[in-house]
Amino acid sequence: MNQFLIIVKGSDHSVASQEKMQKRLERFGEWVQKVLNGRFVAGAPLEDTDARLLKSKTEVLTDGPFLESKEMISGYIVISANDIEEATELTKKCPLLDEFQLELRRMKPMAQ
Amino acid sequence: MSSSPGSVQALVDHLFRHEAGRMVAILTRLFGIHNLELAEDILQDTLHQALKDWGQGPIPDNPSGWLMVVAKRKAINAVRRERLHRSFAKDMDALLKSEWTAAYTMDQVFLEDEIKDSQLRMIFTCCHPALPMEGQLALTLKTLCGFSIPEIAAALLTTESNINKRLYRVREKIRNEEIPFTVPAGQLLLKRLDAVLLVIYLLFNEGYNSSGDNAVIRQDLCLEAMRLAVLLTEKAVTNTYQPVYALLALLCFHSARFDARMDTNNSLIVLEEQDRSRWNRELISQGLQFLSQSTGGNQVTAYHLEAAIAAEHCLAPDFPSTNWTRIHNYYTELEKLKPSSVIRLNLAIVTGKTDGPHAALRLLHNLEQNRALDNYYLLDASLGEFYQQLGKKEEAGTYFRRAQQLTRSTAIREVLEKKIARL
Repeated sequence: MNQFLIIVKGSDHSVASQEKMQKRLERFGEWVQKVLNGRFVAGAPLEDTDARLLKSKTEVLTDGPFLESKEMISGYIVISANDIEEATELTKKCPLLDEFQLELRRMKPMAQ
Repeated sequence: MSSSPGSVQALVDHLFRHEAGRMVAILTRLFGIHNLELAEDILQDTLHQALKDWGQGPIPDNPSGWLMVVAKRKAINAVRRERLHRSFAKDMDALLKSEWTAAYTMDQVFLEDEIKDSQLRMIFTCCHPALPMEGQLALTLKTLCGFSIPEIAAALLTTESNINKRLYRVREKIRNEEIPFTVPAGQLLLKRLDAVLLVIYLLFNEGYNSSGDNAVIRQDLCLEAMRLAVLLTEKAVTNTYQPVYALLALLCFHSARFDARMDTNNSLIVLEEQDRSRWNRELISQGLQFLSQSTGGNQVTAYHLEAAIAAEHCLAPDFPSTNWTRIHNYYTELEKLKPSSVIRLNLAIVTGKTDGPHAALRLLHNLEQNRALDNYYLLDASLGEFYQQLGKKEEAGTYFRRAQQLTRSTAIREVLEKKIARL
């Protein structure tokens, strides 16, 4: 069993209404319950505020948005799946895909 | 609704008994059985808040709903507070610890059908055969029936400190043996279901036959036992097992006679002298319904036979027209299935009805020589009864008095006192 990281690209967290967010979490919850069905490992949505981009030890960008909102990451999810094909099928059904791009990456397993 | 302190306390007590089992089951589903104490703490906390809020302001229109909402809010707070140093139920832990899924997961577990599912898990956990029987009974009363420690002590006729010890040991055993909070599957399910039925049966008997003087507690015990049995008929995993219906039928027939067994002074009235118009017709017809649902399979259990015997009593319009032959047959079958001295005693009493007092006395004296029932008042009371029928007053009196010394129940002692006076 492998673990995969899903990166949610794009964010509307600073502008979306509370109602919209709630609806999103509800659909997300259904996906976790019915599609992932025990394969959800961890994850969190991310705040748009309190962000820093550290380009080097001296160059720290504080005044967001320092990225286009399309490029901002608004959350991450870790799931478990046998392989990238299965992980892709599971992720295709994620309701966040209606609004955002999702980047799927296999996590390097810990050395045996 | 007015909210004088007394009425608030009474309402909370009443609701609490009904809601406590549901709330602890849900909270345990979330937190895991290893966090049972956390679940119980939240329950206590919710209760205190109800007492406080309802004592000051108006009582909410839907008090049960209010309790659930508050328990849920406290559960969310507990997750926030404890998430870094506790692990919750295995399949819930990741979901409760992620902001993506925490609220949704919480909502799902509080849905009505899920609550029943959690209660079912709780029943199977409390009645796990790896736990000592006395621990199973105490834990079932505590977590599923919302009994307080003094109430459990009163119900099981022991001291509060004994109950505390039993609960402590049984919780420790659940943790050490990692008893899961699940409903077993496959072949194991039926075996485990038998263990659950036994606990329900024992709890009911404790309430129905016990020598405890607290009538309210005893009636509550019977009601709670019935409620647990009904729960088993509501979930698909357990509601096709016919012995469930046989047990439920038995509980209905016994409960139908609950009020008629007591006179206004709380003294026991024997079956022969009960006012049958006071028997609860609705419960009897429910019992018959369950009894018919319990047949058709190839399995005849002790519950089937005991229910059939109770049905015969309930259906007889008066004592003399009881069908003793059929009851005798059921007892004969029962004795084969579950050989015990108590059943042999009942068989002997029924033999007295079908074959006369001499036949009964022969069987009773055999039992007396076996000595297995040495301290059981009913053997001596029965011997007294049949000697009395033969007009042998002296023997009858001796046995009645011996029976009196063997029972702790004041109600039964009074019945025997009347019999002695009538000799």
